[in-house]
Amino acid sequence: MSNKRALILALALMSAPLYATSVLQAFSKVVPQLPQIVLDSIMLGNLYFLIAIGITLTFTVAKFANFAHGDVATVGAYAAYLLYNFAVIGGIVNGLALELGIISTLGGLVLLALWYALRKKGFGNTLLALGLPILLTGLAVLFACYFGANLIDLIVIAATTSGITSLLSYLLVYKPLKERNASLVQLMVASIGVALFIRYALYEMTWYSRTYYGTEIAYQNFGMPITSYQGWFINGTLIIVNATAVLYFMNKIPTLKIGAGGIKLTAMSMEEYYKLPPQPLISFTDLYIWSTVTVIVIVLSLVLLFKKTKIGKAWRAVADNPILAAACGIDVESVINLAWLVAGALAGIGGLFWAMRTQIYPELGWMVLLNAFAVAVLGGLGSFWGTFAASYILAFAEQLGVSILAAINPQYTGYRFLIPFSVFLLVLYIKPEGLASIKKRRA
Amino acid sequence: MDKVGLVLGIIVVAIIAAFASINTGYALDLIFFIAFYAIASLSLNLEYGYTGLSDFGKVGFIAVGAYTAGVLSAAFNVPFPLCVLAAALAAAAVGAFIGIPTVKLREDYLGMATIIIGEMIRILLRNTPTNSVWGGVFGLRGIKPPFGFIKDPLARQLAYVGLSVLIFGLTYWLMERWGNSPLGRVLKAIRDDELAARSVGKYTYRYKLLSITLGSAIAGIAGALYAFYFLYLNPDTFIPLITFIIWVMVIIGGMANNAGVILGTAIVILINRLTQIAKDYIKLPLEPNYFQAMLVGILIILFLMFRPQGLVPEKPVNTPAWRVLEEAEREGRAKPPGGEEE
Repeated sequence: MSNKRALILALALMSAPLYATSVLQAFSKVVPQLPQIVLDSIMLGNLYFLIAIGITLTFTVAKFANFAHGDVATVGAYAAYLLYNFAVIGGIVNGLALELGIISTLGGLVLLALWYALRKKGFGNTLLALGLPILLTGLAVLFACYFGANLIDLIVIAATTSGITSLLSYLLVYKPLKERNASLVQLMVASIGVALFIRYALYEMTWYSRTYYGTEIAYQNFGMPITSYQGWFINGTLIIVNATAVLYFMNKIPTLKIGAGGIKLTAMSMEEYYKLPPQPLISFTDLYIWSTVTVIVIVLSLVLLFKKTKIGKAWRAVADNPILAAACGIDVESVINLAWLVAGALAGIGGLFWAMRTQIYPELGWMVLLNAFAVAVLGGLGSFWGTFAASYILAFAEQLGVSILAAINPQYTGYRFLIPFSVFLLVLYIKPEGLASIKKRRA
Repeated sequence: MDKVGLVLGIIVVAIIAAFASINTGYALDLIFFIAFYAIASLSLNLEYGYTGLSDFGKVGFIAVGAYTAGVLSAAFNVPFPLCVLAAALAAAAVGAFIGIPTVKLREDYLGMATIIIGEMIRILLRNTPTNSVWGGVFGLRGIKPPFGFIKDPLARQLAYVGLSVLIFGLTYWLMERWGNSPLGRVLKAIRDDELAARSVGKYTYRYKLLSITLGSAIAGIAGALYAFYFLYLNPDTFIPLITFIIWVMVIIGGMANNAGVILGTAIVILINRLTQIAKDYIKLPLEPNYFQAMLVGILIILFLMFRPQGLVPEKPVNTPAWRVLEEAEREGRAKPPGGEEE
């Protein structure tokens, strides 16, 4: 280990004089942007976490890297996008959406009834795992048709559709393969097959929509109105202004003042706004808040699930040793079903936020997946808190790196993708166990 | 060779012959593509079929080979053979760079590292300055044709395709030699049970590294052939889908069987070409290119599920001892081990 460290130190020292001047210059330009970078990396970290935690969760029970995870996320994003934009067109409920909602509600109810009838026979748990999300999907679609889709509705639909896709991919592909004693490499290749199928089925869908309905649904903005905020730090007070209100020339701009005098919600006139310095210290949007709240809720509920409930205990037991868990009377199959369902659901939520942040297109999940792999490996495949920490570390590295690159030469920002990939390769060279190994050593 | 492979092989050759009788240029193009993909899938067969390594970044190594050869030829007028050699060396270096940290870890890490390096190479190539020889998103131009002195375009194409087929034949011969050598047996032992291979004193790490380095070098040669055929390279042709098309070829053909892999290559390419021709005559409410990619995914899953050994299953290693045993059996003196399975 010391040999390796010495080698890396030597390499760093050798390359230092080459880059020191330009990087230091760039760094001095970047320092004032640090608050913005931290905010951005929290946002990006949230998104990385939502995708990468699914990889970690399936890895704990299935023991292989699922390459279809990104495309499962795209399915959820597309479901939410279509529901938000096409459930109600011009004030009229879309007939297709209504039919879909009714069919999946009824289908979910039938599956649940079947589960209730068969639950004593032992194989009904798959029906429960499928029936509940299908019922939820139907209800969410019907809700959107009559009351309009809001964010929570979209999160539900993204989570359920991705969860169903993920569970079906397990039931139809990975489970039969495992029963046929497929090797680890074969399972990974099969997951790539699933990924290709899903991705190009989505491409086919965009093509179909373009040709037969004349509606372009690839490379579109999500369309949800997003409020943006700007913040200044003046005289020990943090002033946060609703910047979207400024755009509409409202005379009372909602303003939040956080300082020594406590937190105050006031209004600001246009004249006062123009007296503020032109360059805000921080700027952020609704998405930052929503994604952070979502991540906090998810982390809390996952921690509660793992530490306090019987299901969580069974899950950890299955992750540790499935044969021993089965010998103790744990229903291993149900736990694995649940793991795939939850992983898919989280991926769907992640995909929804990614689509809202950038654009929606069929390759979205695939592009995110490669970064998520870097996160999962940095976190040490299979560790919950490792993944959590790695998401934010990698996001910060990426945001800081991009700012430095942009300060050196704005053209270099095209290399942004190389930052997580280089971190990934560095981790493999220096410490392939990832962040999870730090905790283990102390224990 | 077994019956399924023989029948399918005859069908493939017949279809190519039919194409050749209608349009020579098209048939030559087809043969070049089969040779190019066959070299790439032979290299994947060495990694996946023989050693059990999961290389999901084949297209990245092909791109390294193609761009090395392309830049050397376009900017420095390096002759064709040296370009091919340099392409192989460059791709081998990238392969070793990935292999050193990952082959001693679980298979997942190699899979993730290779898929990431494949995309990384594509993004790097996309971001090269557009006014340099690399060309960035506009692509690399100005590769000197190796048979530029032949004036007739068809004859020039014929010469180049002939050379490609020759290189492909050489690769095949090399692969058969390696596969049936002690090296091939060690690689197969690693694939089947790495612990057992290690327990008899084989340093498996070095063999796996060797396998991925050689595989990458051969992929680099395939890339160089690609560069000199089209004389133009664009980073966006090296998308991950190409890697998985090569995987389908290996999985359909039969892992650790070089002849089977070539058959799989020919089948996949012919399916691709025939559907492209058929789409002009049959109207389906589907986009054919996307549908083909979906088909690739379905084929991977179905073959892994129902025929994981591929169309042409793996044969026992062809060693002198084995030949002696087979001869003995033919004369009715003894039975070869494992022969009862048939």
